[in-house]
Amino acid sequence: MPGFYVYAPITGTVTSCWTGPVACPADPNGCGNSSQMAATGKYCGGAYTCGPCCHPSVSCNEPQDISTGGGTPDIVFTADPIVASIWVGLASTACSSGSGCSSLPYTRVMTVYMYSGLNGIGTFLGFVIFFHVNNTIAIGYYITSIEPGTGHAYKVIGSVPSGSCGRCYTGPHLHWERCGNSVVNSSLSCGDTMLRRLSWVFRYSY
Amino acid sequence: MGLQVFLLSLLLWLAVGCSGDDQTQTPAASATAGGTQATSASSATPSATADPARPPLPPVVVEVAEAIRDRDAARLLQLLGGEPEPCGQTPTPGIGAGPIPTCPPGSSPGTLVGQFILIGDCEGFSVPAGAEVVDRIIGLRDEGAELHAVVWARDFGSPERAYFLVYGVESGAGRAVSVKESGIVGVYYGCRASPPGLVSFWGANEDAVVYPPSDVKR
Repeated sequence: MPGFYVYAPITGTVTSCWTGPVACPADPNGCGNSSQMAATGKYCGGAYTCGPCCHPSVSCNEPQDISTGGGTPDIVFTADPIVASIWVGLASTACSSGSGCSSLPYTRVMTVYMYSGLNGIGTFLGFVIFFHVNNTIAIGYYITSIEPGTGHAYKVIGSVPSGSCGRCYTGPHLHWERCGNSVVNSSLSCGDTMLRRLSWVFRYSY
Repeated sequence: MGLQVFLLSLLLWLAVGCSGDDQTQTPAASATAGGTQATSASSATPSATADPARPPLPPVVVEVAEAIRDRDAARLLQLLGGEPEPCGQTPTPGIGAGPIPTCPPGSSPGTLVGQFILIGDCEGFSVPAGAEVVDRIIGLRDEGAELHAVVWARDFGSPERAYFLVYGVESGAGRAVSVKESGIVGVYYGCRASPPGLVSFWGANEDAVVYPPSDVKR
């Protein structure tokens, strides 16, 4: 089955990753209420003193947070050049009703559908979801560009927001998830440096 | 004439030198357009220059900063504020779901109960206001936390602004404690941002105010 890679959309540090062989506690004291979560990820960082804490998968699987370290860079969807076009969808359901946050752009959900042909024709290749996206491009089809040097297909889709919002967004980061017939790069772990364009994170099959 | 040209050149050189991208320069704290100050990537501590347009910090902020500095656990316990949470309601799925407190007898689901403190890294959760929170704050001092700046900024989950006391720890990472009139409402582990990075994070919004640590005094 043919496949392709999706690369880190920003440069930063991995601050959550997937559950892997460690199960999240059923009732993680101090980690929120995991019974409300589809937990296929875990947080890492100084706040989590009670062991692995479940990171909610809002829509799909294996959520990953990438910290920017304080900046608000552009989010650049980047994949192998088979992704000739994307369709962007927008919603505002990233934050739980219990999070104390109901404001855009923190609640923003951006779905990126990938196609092998222009403007959604050709083969449907899968989709990726991004959360907390500021300055989003509008809903619709976009033709990707080819990045000099790497030869990857890319499209700027928004930026990382500044400012906090309740429990939903308390530090500068991007949260994204893989959807459909795909796997995560199992060699990545908490604290790893991610390089935009260069670090592959998800591999899709079609 | 020659002297005038020389002096003019000297002034221009000084002006260019001070406005360049020297990362070691000390940014001036801004009273109104916080974004100008706060988006600086400089590692320097915000300027101690007094700014008459900057409103003084409320006493509770100074009290919290002093209690943290002095590792005064009893005082910190008294200074915990927190926010109530709705009891007995199952939140919708998503990020930051938070606790579901049990409703006291006779109260209906959705009634606001208790006092909870936000604990944040990149995303957050909350815990009851109590000794655990104090232990966490003392833990920041154990990491070597020193006050870097105070940012008066909006948390977009609330109509009320908060004071974010931004600290730097020995590893170079940023931490923060948020304070409202009621007292301490949040502890932030920084999401791997540096102290200047956290100042930018909260200070980038146009109405934020950044205070240098020297403003934290009675």
